[in-house]
Amino acid sequence: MIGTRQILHRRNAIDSIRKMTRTMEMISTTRYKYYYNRWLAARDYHDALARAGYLLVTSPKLYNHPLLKTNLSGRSVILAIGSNGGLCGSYNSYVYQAMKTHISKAEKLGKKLDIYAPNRRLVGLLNYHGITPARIYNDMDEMPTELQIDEMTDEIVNQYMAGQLDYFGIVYMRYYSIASQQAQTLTITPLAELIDDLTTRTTAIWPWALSVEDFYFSPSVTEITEGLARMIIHSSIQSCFMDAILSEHVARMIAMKNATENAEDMIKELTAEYNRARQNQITRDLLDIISGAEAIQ
Amino acid sequence: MNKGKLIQIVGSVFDAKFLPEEVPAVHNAVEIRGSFRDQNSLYGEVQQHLGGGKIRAVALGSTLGLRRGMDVFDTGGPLTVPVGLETLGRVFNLFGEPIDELGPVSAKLRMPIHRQPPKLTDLSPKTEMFETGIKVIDLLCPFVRGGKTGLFGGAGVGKTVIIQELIARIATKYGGYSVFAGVGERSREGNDLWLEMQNTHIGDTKDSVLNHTCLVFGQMNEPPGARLRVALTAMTMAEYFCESGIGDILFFIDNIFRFSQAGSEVSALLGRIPSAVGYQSTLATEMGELQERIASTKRGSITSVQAIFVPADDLTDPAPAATFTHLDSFVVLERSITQKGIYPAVSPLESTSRILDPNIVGQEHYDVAQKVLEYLQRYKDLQDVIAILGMDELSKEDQQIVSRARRLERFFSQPFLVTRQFTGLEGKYVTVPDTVESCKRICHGEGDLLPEEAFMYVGTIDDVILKAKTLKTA
Repeated sequence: MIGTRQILHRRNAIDSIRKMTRTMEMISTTRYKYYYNRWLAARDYHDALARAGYLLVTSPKLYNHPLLKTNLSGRSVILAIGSNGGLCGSYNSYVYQAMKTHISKAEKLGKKLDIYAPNRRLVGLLNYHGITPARIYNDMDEMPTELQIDEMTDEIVNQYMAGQLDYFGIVYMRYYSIASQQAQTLTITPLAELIDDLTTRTTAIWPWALSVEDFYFSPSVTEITEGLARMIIHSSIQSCFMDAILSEHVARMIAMKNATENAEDMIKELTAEYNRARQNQITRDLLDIISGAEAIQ
Repeated sequence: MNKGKLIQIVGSVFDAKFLPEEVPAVHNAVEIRGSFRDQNSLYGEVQQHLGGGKIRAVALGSTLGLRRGMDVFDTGGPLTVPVGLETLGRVFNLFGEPIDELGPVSAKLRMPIHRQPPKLTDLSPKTEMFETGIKVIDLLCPFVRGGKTGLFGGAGVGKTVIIQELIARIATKYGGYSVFAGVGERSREGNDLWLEMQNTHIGDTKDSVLNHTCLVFGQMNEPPGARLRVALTAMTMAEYFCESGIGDILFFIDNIFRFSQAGSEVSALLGRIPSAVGYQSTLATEMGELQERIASTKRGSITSVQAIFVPADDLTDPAPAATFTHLDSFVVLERSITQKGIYPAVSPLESTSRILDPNIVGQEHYDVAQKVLEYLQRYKDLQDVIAILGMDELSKEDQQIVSRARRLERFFSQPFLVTRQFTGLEGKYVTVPDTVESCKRICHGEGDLLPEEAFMYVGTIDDVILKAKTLKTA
């Protein structure tokens, strides 16, 4: 039988774990609220940009813009957003599962697939599966800064316009509500696909009754196309990171809540075991003393 | 024959007074004659001399109906039992009297149940493995030919089933003789065993297993004195086969703990000071006297398998702990494994064997066993983490280890020959090379993609693959 001391020791250890998991749950709850408010505030802006984008791609005048044509360089890029930290359940496995379809598709079509990833938990998982990301972003916080997103946007737009890139997609955990998140891919380029994706996602009703001819643009539509495209890409990348971080905190809240409950159950069991062992020990000691004393009388 | 008077009866211990110069020697059998209840005589064994011609003896039968003043006779020596080939196929009680109602035993020779263990110089330690065909045992705690094996387990984890399985597996293949001692276990089991042995034949011959076996029973219906001495009776019979060079002997004891327990029941009555947990202070001595006689000598070997009850699943309890030191191979049965529905519930981490050594079992067997233990140990270490945080928080490497450990754990379940009527599964005999090969392949990840269920109650890894296929189609 395990000694009472060992049981106590184990119980204390589990109690410390419980404190930790409970704290992490609380932190994630507050972080979640903070990001949720930001997410809510940005939603209208994203929708508005998507509408503007819709006008762009439905306009017959713009088919020749380099961002709207299809490239045939044979190179695709996937940006995979994993979790910032551990202890968030199957979060990274889901993201990896979603990535795997891209990887096998690229293999089947004989295309080159570069994987970009922020230097987070997912990188270890990828390495385990023998995948080396082509680029790792080393200095990214929970949310990347505006400047970092700008750099990414520039890179994507420049490479696409130079014909070096066929496809850029972001694999991330999409946030629907607190009860539902799912690993998905958002296509960033070709731009038409991005806008397609966005229009099916926004809350506005499509198709719009209005077309691009109904608006007066200053400067002209051709001139603002690239700028608008950059804004849409920028905001899409940002919203992906936002969704990812929101989902991560939800996942962690749930995982830590379960962990806390499990730890509490275990403490309960160990307490019962400890009491039993303690009682046993007392009985045994008493018996030894009494029977010993009886025997030598 | 010296005669004395019964002067005191306390439970299963009685005192008698002889003339001071006629006092019977310690360990002599004394007989109480006269008719009381349904017996005509009662034997006792002298344990103490109290001075003034008084002796204290343990009754070897029920003291029901005994009266003070009855006559007590000294038989002049310790209890003797019949030995030799005539005892084969028969069932005895501790006095060496047949209890199978097949008439008297015509043994030419009787031997006292108290004897000296073989001399140090006569012992011949062997280091040869004894195959049982049970995967987990052969891989992790191989039996030693001519050695001692203990089956440790709490109440209801399957000790008796394993003992009976071993009899079915070994005795049917093995040409030599077996002796079975039933000490303080269920009386029904003795009957089951007897009937089953009659109907089982050795190999392809018409010879029943019973004809090569001698059974001795002092089950839980008997008073403590009987349970204390019945193991010695069986021991004496086995010893004779071994010493007379008749052959190598298999010796089964179910359950050696009852021997210690009986000792503890009479110890306080004999006036000895109880030691830890109320056991007799002479626990280690008594166990040593019995265990030292189970020894392989130059003339013949005794391979023994002993079931050892573990009170409250506590292996540090003095009784099992005193037995530990005498054994070559320990098979520890664990309750938590029976709760997973895995039988035999052998604990891979606690069971071990002296001969799990590359020089004896071979380098590959040893390496595979160590690898298996490594996986299972890691799994055990991670169990708290899994219980609290879940599998997802483990690193991929650990997840793989856990998945293999879980498969190995299930792979160690095995259908038994003697449990066919309960499980509906045909018993599986797996040879050592097959076991080693299968475990090696699982450790190399060959079963990673197969469902865990496919590993339950099968033979080799090939059976697992086959079962996985049928599970898929079903």
